[in-house]
This record gives sequence, structure tokens and C-alpha cells, in this order.
Amino acid sequence: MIIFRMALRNVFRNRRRSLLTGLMMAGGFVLFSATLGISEGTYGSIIDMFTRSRTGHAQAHAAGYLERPSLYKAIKDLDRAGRVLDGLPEVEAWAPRVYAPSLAFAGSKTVGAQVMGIDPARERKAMRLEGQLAEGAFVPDRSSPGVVISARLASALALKTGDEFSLIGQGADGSIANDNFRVAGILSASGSAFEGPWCLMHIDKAREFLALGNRAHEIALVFTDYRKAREDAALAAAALADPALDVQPWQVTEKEFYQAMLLDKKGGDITNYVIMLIVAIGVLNTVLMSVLERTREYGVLKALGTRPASVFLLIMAEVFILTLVSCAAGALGALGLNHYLAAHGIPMPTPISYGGVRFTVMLSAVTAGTFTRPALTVLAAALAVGVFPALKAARITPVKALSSR
Amino acid sequence: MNFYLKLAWRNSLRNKRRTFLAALAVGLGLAGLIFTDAISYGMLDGLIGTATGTFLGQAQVHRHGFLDTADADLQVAGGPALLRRLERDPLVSSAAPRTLSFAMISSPANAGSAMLYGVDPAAELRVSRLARAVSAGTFLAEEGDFIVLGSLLAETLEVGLGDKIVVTAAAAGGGELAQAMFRVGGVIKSGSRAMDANMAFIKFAKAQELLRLGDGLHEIAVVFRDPGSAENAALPFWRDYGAGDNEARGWPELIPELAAAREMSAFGIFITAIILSGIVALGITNTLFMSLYERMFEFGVLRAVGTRPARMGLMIASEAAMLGLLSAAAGAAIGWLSCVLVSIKGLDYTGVDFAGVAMVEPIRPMFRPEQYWLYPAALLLFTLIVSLYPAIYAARMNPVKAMRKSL
Amino acid sequence: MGRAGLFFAVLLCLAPAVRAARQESSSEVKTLLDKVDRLYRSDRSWAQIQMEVITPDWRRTLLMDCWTEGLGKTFIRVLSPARDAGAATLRNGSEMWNYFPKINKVMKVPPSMMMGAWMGSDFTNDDLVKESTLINDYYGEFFVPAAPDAALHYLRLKPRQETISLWGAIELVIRRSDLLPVREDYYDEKGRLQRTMEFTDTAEMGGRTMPRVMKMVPLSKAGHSTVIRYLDARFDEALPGDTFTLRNLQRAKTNK
Repeated sequence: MIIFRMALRNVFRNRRRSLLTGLMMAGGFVLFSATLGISEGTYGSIIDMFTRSRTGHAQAHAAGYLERPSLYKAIKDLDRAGRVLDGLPEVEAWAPRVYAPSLAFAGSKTVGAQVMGIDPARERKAMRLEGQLAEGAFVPDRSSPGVVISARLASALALKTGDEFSLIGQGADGSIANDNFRVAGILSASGSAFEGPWCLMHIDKAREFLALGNRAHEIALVFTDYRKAREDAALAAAALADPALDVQPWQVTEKEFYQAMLLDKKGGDITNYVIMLIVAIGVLNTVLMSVLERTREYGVLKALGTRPASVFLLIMAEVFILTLVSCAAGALGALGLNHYLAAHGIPMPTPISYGGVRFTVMLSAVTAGTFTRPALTVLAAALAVGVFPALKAARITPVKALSSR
Repeated sequence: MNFYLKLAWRNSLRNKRRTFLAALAVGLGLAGLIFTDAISYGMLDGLIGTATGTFLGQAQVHRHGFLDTADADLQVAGGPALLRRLERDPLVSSAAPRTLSFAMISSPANAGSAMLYGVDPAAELRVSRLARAVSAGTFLAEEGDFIVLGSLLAETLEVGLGDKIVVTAAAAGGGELAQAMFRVGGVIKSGSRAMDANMAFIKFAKAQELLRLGDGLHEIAVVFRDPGSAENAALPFWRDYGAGDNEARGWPELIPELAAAREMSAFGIFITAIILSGIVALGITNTLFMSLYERMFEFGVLRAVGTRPARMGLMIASEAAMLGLLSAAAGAAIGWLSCVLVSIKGLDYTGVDFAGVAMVEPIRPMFRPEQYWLYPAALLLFTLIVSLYPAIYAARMNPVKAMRKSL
Repeated sequence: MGRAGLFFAVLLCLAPAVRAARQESSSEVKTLLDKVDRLYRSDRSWAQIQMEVITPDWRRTLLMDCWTEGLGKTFIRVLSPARDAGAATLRNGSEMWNYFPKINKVMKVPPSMMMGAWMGSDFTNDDLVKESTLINDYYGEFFVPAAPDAALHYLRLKPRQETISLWGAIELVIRRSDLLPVREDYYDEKGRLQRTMEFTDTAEMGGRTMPRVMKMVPLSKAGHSTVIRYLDARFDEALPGDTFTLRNLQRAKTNK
């Protein structure tokens, strides 16, 4: 106990030295924490924005639909699925969709088009589709011949808002689906997740066009926490308890995007290790210095009769206390910094577009990881480093210690 | 100046361990930056190289509006002449002509739609690496009407080498039906789902005949002598070959995702540099103050003896400069070593698909001259700036108080 | 009977008739092929046809009127069921147009759609467009199968070198008595059976005796088949002058 009190007093006795050492530790903590936070936050915001621009955090399909999409592989009991999903607290919103490849023609031009039937009211709660509109109005809330087309389809058929065109497809009952439609709006060319020749219409209109009855091909799910997409998808699958249904998280449905993220993250991990190493060495240097330079002091202690083990413990205790205090200070600083960056972010010199989403700031995030990793690093480094000089001081002969300076 | 540097050197040597560790920490900061920079640019280079090298080319020339509809009639204006001009252009390493059309490919078992490319195998070899992705057969090396299919397409059609398939496409001059029979001469497995499921290749001359193009073509893929040309929007090249009805576009326009990735990467490096600077600043300040306090008495004496404040500050500054030089040397050496070590095997990301580009080669750190002059110079400057605080502190020291203090 | 003839003949190969000289059939084979070719052809024809398409997901029966002239012109109008009634297809040479009353527009079928199914059946648009004859594009010889029926001829045909065809061989089974086809088996080059056509219900129609029912089964797609039934037909009668025009596509009433 007296050792602890002595250690405490030693730490605060020499303010300047403790401050320098502590500053190094706290500073390293904050910076490392900021790095982790920014990395986490940036990926998080990219994933969130991307998944909410079309695909959702997870998707439910009839078994096998994802690998080989087919008009006939539809989710049969949509109402039941909807009721089950409504009852899950993890599911924030869900939206049913219908897909069918078809032929669009206007004037003398014919072009392949991908029809997507949506429920605008549900999409509004789940996705950010309307923001991708460049001109005109979005799909009406009730079944109508007004459709929204992608920029690519508009340019291929030379269509403007208000123009009419026809769609021909294969009905689910074998008939030839054909109908006239009017362009209600056009999606943005660069700022939209719909890059192909898409044609968005009300889901009931699509069902009528394709003779699909009450079915849908896909249910897009949005969870309360996108970070738990995998677990929540499994949860939803279990709740639906239907072997004919697959529920897959975005990591599976958007495999390419996920892999691109992983690739980038790997690069970031390397940077993190480098920073960790540097922080550790910085701590090493300062702790080492502050211990070794008090060799004389410890010599006096030993001359007075203090046991080697006690000297060792004394030094370790000092290091430990200092580290703890520094980490606490660092944690506070990191909390403040990350919080600010999470809210305001670092503005990027030029906005970057990926997958139809525009990024203008790099955001940070406040997570447990941003505290535990720096804390562990600093603590481990300091304690590891303290051991050697502590041992040395414990074993030194008082005469030698007193003669050194 | 020389005097101070000598002094600084001697003072640094007085506490070798501290100097060593400080130089190591700061040097690692520099090394970290160099390594991160090298890996980031290496990764991007790999991605861009794969994206442009597999098939796209570094730049492409088309007729306006061709890519929207793949209409056979929209041939490159003055195609053959333009191709010859490109081949002779000093900026260009090689150029390959291509035709491109939507087509239906039918086999006895099934039919599937595809993008049909007419390519000149010899010219293609100099522009794209697609021939290396052939998993069976050859890339149109044999005489006769052969077709090369993506592996997923071949699977859908249930065909293998030597099997008969029929290609149906719209010919130029009215969209009349163009049909011809081919035998499967090769299968391509590029690793990219988009390519393997949708692409088919036949010989350029045969495609021109099939689509009734005469000597026209739809696309010219270009590789530059200096890959940087593709990103240089200021070159007259783009206006030259993209005049009139044509358009010439580099890969930043053709694959905007990659350009975006590059910008994000550059910004990421910038942020990393800032954070590393923070840590480095701490390390330097720490070291300088440590050494200062340790020699408080000494400084006190120096002041008492009449050394002017400015010189005191200069002393500290030159010690900082010495530290900076040592760290820069150490950092550059460590950075260089780590890059060399990692390049031996590279980082393996094969199989990852990004923006339709499948990584086929490991990523290697990329050497850039900036890493070894810009970053060390910045470090030195930064060190000097950071040393201002302790330097000013030393300059304003009160000699009496200093001599009384001890660590 | 030109309609059925078109269906039958075009299933065999996929190219305009090409004069080939190298591979030859014996004169007896040639006679048979010629008879079969002519059986389904005439200068002008009209027929009312019922087409039943069966797939694993749905079943549909269409009733339609078809007119043909020579090898190059075909006009088809769908009469029932109600959802498809009024749809029409015109083929003139290698071009094809579709009309759907609901959208009230005439659409030229782009080449990319040519290999797509016609009206959801197992026949492709391309099948309707091709002009070819057995005698010009194929050559063959008699063969004896494992369990031969004495009442039948067995012919094995192969495409000529220049013929654009997916098939490695076609086995044609013909009745000796009236030289009417009974079945056709299509093999790919590896000798795998890819599809078969069966001809049944021989009866007299419009002055000719021929099988009224054709059933097509593609073996690579399980559960799919298409059955064509000729309900009525007339040959070599004069047809209204504007039968094979785009204008005719948009008319609501049929012309007989």
C-alpha cells in the first residue's frame, strides 16, 4: 500500500516529467482513436448511403432467385411475409418489388429495358429513391401509366418528361405483356444507383402488366442498425420460417461492392498497424527516459534498504498510474474529437461519386473499438516498456546508481 | 551555422539511446507515410492497370452516341484513316480496331444475348491482356470462323470447344438480319461476372463482313506510351481524335468509379499524413523538452555567461534539425526496406471484383519520387516548426532559475 | 398449307437457301425430300391454327389465322384468347413486324429479338423468318434403326457445308404408304437429341392430305412443349391484295 502511495506521489511530484510522458500517451491515444473513428465512420457512411439508394440492408427472395432470376420465381405469400416483418423490432422498413426484363420502344427505336415495380409509400420510408430524380415527378402513389426511367433509357430512346412509349414483355401467364406508358420523371445520370435501362412503375401497374397477381420478386429490408445486417437478416429468415424464402444481407446481394469495401479496408488496416507501432514506440521512448533518468533516486532508495521487489513494483506502479490517467485524458479528448467529426466530418476537397451516391465529407464514428484499441496499445506499450528499466533499477547496486547522473 | 550543427550533433550523441529512440519513432512516422503512399498508389495502379489492361484500353474512340445503342450504323467517322493516324501518333503505343454489336447467340440447347466484339487478335495482343484469360482453346488463333465465348455464356449455351453456334445480329444499313455460323474456338474466364456472362469475340474482318460495315469499325482501343496521358485532360489528343462526330475518352471518363477511388485514396493519404504528423510532433517536442530539462543547469550557465537568447533558441532549433535529419534518413531507409520486402510477394487480392474489374495480380507497393524527397523535406520542415516552442522556451529562460532547477 | 410448311421447313435450318453442290443424296432420297418440301408449300394459302403452349409455369392456347404467299410472306392474326386477340405478325423477306392492339403500335422486330420465342412458344421469331428447303440445304441417306417398322422410311439428313444450321443431323421418319412425315428428331453435332417433332392426325384439308397436328418438344427444357393443330386450310386461292402490308396489321377484322 505504501508503494502505491509513493508511486502516486512520485507521479505528481515531478509535474513536468509526468506531463511530458503523459502528453505523449494521451496524444497518441487521441490520434489513434481519431484514425480508427474516421476509418469506421467513412466506411459506415458509404455503406449506409449505398445500401439505401436501391438495394437495402438485406433482401428477401424466393429460393434461388438471386443466382438465376426468373419472372416465375416469385414470393408467393407476400402478405404473410409483410406481417411477420412488421412485427420485428429490428426491421425499420420494408418494400416489395417486382422485376421483369422487357423491350421498350418509342418511334422506331427498340431497346431492352428492366422494369421494376415499386410501392412508392413504402420506398419513401425505406430508401432514398426520390432524391435520385433529375427532372419530373416520382412514381405516383397509385397505379398509373406514369413511370420513372433512368437516364440511360431516356437517352437511348430520346425520351423527355411527358413523352409516351410502349413496353412489351412476357406475362407470367404466357401472354405477351404490352402497354403504353408515359414518362413522369427521369433519374439522374451520375447521381443515381440505377445505371442500366431501368423503368420504375407502381407495383400494382407492374403486376397488371405482367399478370403477376399479388406476388412480388423481392422484399428490400432496412434495419435499425446497418452494422448488424448479417445477424438481422438471419433473424428475419428465422422469423419468416419459410424454406422457400431466402433472406440475404447486402454483403451477399451486393458482393462486388462488399469486396471493394474489404479491399479498401485492408489497405486502411495496414495504416492502422503502422500508427499503432509509432504510438507504441513513442510511449516507449518517453517512459524509458523518465524511468532511466531517475536511476539515482532508486539508488538512494536501495541504499536506504528498500527491497528490490519493492523498487520494481514502485516503478511499475508509477508507470501504471501515469498510463491510466493519460488514457483517461486521452479518452475524453478522443470522445470530444470523434463526436465532433461524427457530426460535422472532414470536408473533402472534391465530392466523390460512387455507385450513384455523392460523398462530400468524411465522417467519424464513436464506437467501443475507437477506445479499446488505443487504450490497449498505450497500456501494453507502457507496461512492456516499463519492465526493463524497472528490473534494471531493482537490481542495481546503490553505489553504481548514486554515481551515475 | 556549421558550429551549431556540430554542437547539435555532439549533444545528440550525449544521450545515444534517447536520440536513437526518438529518431526511430519519428523515422517510423515517415516510413509509415511512405509505405502507406506506396501501397495506396500501388493498389490503384493495379486496379487501373487491370481495368484498362484486361480489355478496355487506356482510351477509346467512338462515334457520338454509339455506346448508348450499339447501333451498327454509328461507325467511327473516318475509322480506317483515324486508326492509321493513331498508330503513327508519338503519344500512342498501340491501337486496336473493334466492332461491337448486340447479338443473340444460339446453340442447339439454348439461346443467349451477348455483346459481340470483332477483334484483330494481333492488334489486341498489344492493347489488352484478354488472350491470357483463355481457359480453353485459343483466342482466335486458328484459321476459320471461330468464336470465343465467356465461360458463363458457354455454360448457359451448353457448348464447348468445337461446337456449332449461330450468331444473329443487326447489320448496318437498315438493321437487317445478319446471321452466321461459328465454331467455339476458345472460352474465356476473366473472373469478372459481367465479362464472362456477356461477351463473345470473333475476328475483326469476319465481323465487318457479317455486319456489312465495309472497312468501317465501331471502336478503337488505345494504349499510350505514358499511362499518365490517359488522365491528362489538357492534351490536344482528345480534341484531335474526338473531333466532329467522334469522341475520344480516357479511362477516367469510361470508368468513373476508378477515378473516384483514386481521389478518395489521395485524400485518405492526406488524412493519414496529418495524423502521423500529430504523433511525430508529439515525439519531437517530447524529446526536445526532455533533453532540455536534463540540461537545465547547462543552459542556465550558458545564459549566465552571456549567450544571447536568440542563440539559445538556435541551439535548440539545430538540435531539432539534427533529429529531423537523422529521422528522415532512418525513415527513408525503413520505408524503402519495407516496400522492397513487401514487393517480393506483393499483397494478394486476387479474386476480388471491383467495378467489374477482377484483380488477377498481387498488389505491389509503388515507388514514387515524392516519397523520398517531398515527404522527408516536409518532415524536416515540420520538425523545425515544431521546435519553435521549445526553442522559444529556451531563449526566454531565466538563468538563475535554470541553474537552480534540476530534473 | 403453306403455314405449316413454313413451320416445318424453317425448323430445319437457319439461312436463306444456299445452292450447295458437294454433298449429294441419291435420287430416291431427293424425291422424298422434294415431296416433303412441297407438301407444306404452296403459292398462296390460308389456315386457321390452334397453338397450345405448355410450360412448367403456365399453359396457353392461341387460335389464329395465317396467310402465306410463296416462301417470303407470312401474316398471322391472333383470334383468341381475349387478352391476346387482335395481335398480329407480318413477315416480309427477312423483316418482321408485330402489332398489339392494346398499345396500338406497329413494332419492327429487332434482330436481337429474332431468336426470342414467338408468342411464348417453342418456335422462335427466327423460325418464322427463314426460307429453306430440305432438298437444297440438306443431303442424306436411308438408314435402318434398332427396331424398324416396315411401314416406314427412315432418312438421316445432314446440313450441307454452307448451310447455317445448329443441327448435326435430322432423322426423318416417313410413311411408305402416302409419304407423309411421322416424326423428326433433331440431333446436335455430338449426337444428342435436342428436339423432336411428331406429326399425327392425317386428314384431308383444302384438297391435300396431311398430318393436322404437329407437336414440338425441346428436350433441353424440361416440361416445355408446343402443339399446333390445323383446324381449316385453303390453298392456292386468291388473297386480298393488302394482306401482307403494315396497314393490315392494324385492322381489327380478319379478311378471308
